[in-house]
Amino acid sequence: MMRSGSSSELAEEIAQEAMLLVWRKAAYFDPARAGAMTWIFAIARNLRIDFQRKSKSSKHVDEGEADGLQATEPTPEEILFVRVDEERVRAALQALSSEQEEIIRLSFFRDRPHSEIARELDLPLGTVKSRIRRALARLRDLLEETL
Amino acid sequence: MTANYHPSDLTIMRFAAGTLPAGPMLVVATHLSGCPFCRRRVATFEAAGGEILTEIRPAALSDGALERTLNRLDSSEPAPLASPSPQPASIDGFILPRTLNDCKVGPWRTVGPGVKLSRVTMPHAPAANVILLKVKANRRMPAHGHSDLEVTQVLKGSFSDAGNRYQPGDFVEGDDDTDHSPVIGSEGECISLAAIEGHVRFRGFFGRLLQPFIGL
Repeated sequence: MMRSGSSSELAEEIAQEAMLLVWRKAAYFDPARAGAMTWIFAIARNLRIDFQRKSKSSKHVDEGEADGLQATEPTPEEILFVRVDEERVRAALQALSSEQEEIIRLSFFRDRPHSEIARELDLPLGTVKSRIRRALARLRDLLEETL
Repeated sequence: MTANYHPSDLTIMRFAAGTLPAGPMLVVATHLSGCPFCRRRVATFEAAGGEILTEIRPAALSDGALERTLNRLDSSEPAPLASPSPQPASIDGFILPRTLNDCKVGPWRTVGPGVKLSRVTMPHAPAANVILLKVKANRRMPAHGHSDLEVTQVLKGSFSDAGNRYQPGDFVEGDDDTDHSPVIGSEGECISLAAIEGHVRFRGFFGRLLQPFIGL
């Protein structure tokens, strides 16, 4: 959370909310749909979006159910794919070169991945853009190889 | 309606990570609602997010955070979820994707010959630049280049740009590497949903007409 630019107070507030939600919604956790870490990741992500929305409007925060993200129910094929994905994703991330894995990790939680990483690594914007693009393309190739 | 053009890997990753700005997030969500292929891509990046989480160095919470959290567990029960608005959003009888149900959709305003624009206001991000654009058959859209990110989802009709033809369900993404001068298909008017981040430089006569309406 702090990586994505939230203040430490806000990050802690979200962390507390996330723990509460994981506890309350444990009964809804469906291992057929997602692994535990993916599920916790999605809860924390939705909470962060909800908190951002709350800070910009008077609308009531709706419990980590950020609109649009759950716009549609998954088809049975999607459920199957999602479950298989986790093993494949772990293997694919590990198969990347360390430089490519690093740039994906770095860009994952950034609000402005290109400009922030360019500043941090002191690289031209174009270099960062093409590195991210190539790393993501390589990740896609690795995922497709294991299909 | 199977899409031929999809969001980039980076855009799907940012959607999954929750870091896309509100406007592009709405347009990507609209694409996802009709594209099982991209919903799988989002799920893949959610799994990647879970995997990356397990390897992040943890940040310490402040003293007593666990106790405070456990106390809240006893006291606060969650409020029931608000039900989504049952009334589908529409403009001039054209039914809009349900991802726009909570948005305020302004009236069509003519911004040039054969070009109409409607502003879409998201309740949680009123400053986001989201528009519906309706252009008559065979018209050229105002030529423009980008300074940040522009995403477009085709809702009706078609247009061609740089040798590609975009149809309903297709998603078009441009950034500062791109210059656009799309032409609408001959079969009829084209309606698209667009989110624009940063400043757009419009060129030419119609472009200058359009600029003040978009206010970018």
